[in-house]
Amino acid sequence: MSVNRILVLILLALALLACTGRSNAVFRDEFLAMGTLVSVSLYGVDEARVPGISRQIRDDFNYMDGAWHPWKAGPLGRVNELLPLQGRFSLPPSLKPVLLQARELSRQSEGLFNPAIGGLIKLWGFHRDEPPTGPPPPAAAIAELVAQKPSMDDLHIEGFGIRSDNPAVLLDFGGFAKGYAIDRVIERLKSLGIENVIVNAGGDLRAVGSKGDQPWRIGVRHPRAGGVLASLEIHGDESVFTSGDYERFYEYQGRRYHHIIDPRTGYPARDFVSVTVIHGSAAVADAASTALFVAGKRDWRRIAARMGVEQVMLVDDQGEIILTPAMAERVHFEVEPRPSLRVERLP
Amino acid sequence: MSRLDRLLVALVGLALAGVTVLLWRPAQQGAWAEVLVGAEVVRRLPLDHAQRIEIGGRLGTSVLEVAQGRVRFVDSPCPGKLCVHAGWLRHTGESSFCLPNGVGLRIAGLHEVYDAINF
Repeated sequence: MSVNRILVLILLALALLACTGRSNAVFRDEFLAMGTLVSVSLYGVDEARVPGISRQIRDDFNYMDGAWHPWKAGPLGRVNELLPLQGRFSLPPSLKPVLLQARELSRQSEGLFNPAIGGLIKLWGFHRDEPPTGPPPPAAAIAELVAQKPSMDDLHIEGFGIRSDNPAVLLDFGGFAKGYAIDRVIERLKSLGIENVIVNAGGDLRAVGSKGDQPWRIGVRHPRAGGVLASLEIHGDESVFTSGDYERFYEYQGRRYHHIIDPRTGYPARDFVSVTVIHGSAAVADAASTALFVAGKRDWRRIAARMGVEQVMLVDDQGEIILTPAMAERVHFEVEPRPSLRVERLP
Repeated sequence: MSRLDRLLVALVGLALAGVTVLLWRPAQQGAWAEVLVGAEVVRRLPLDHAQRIEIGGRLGTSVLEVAQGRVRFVDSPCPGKLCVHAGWLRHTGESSFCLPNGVGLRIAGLHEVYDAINF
C-alpha cells in the first residue's frame, strides 16, 4: 500500500472519529424541588450510572428543601418559631454552616443581602410558593418592621446554641438557599467522580467541566422581551445567577411589586430589572445578585467589590445594560438591534 | 495516484464536508416544543405547524400557541402568569414552566443551541 493511500486512510479515520465524537451523550434529569424546576445535565457519564446519580441528587434537594423552608415544619421553621422568644436554644446542626455563610455574605454586602428580613418577606406574602396578588401591605406595618432593623448580627451563635436579641429577626434564605444547595450537590457529584455537569435550579445554575471538546453554552433570558438576551460559554467551574423583578411579582393599580425587598425601605428595589452575576461559588453568586439588585445604581459597584464579585451584568429600568469589564469580555448579545451598553469599572 | 486513491480522496472530502456542516452549523431555531406535565413530556409540537392547544394541569387548563417557529403560553390558570410573561420561546434549550399548574414548555431540537438557560 502506498504512503499516499495510508495517509488518506488515516484522514478518513479521523473524519469518522470527529463524527462519532459528537454523539449526543448529555443525559438530562428534571424534577420539582425548592418550589422550582431543577434540571441536571450530565456529560460523559456511563448511562447505567445515571438513574442512581439522579436519585441521589433528588434526595439531596428534597432534604434541603424540607430543612430550609422558613415556614413549614422542619429545622428552619422551628428556628423561626423560637427566635422571637429571644431565649437561647439549640440550632439544628445541619443549619449551622448555612447560617454562618449567610451571615458572612450579609456582612460583606453591608446588610443588603439580608436573610434576617423573613418578617418583611412574609408581610409582603412572597414566602408562599404562590406569589401574592396584592394589594401591598399597609405602609405602617412595613415601617414598623424596617425600624426594628433586623440583621444577621442580631444572632449570637455559640457552639450549637443560638439566641436572637432582636424580636423582629426571622430567617428566610430565599436569596441564598438555591445557591447553597447547588454548591452542596456539585460537591456530592464531584465526590462521585462526575466531572461534567450543569445543575440548574429554576434558571440559576452552576456548570462544571465541559461537553467533550465543547464548552457548556449558557443563554441568559431577556428580562422583558422573552427569548435569549445574551450568551456565554463555560469551560471549568462557574455559577451564573440572575435576580430579576420578573421572577415573583404582582401588579397592583399599574405598578409592579416584586420579591426582592430592600431592607432599608421595606419596599421592592427599583433601579434594576435584572442583575446577573458569575462567580465560582453558587452561594456567593446567589447572595451577590440579590445584594447588587438591592444596592441600586449608586452602590452596586462598591458592594460587588466588597463581595469579591467581578463579573456582573445589570439591566436598568430604562433597558440600558451595564457590564463590568470582566463580564463585557465574555458575554455575547443575541438580540438585534444590539442593546445600549455601558461598561463600568469596579473600585 | 491510482484510481482507488482518487476515490478515497473524494470520500474523505465528502466526509470532511459532512463534518463541517454538522459541527459549524450556525445557531439554529428549535425543531419542536416539548410539553411537560409535572416532569413528564406529554406532547411534542412541531414548530413549523401553527396551532393552539389546551393542556390540563393541577389548577386547570393552560393554553399554548405555536406560530412562526415559536411557542408560548397564551393563558394559564396561575395567579402570577409568569409563564405567560415569559413570552415566545424560539431556540433549543429555552423553557418556561407554569409551576402552579404543573405545565411546562421546552424547545428541543437535534442540535441544542444552549445547554442551559439562566433567568
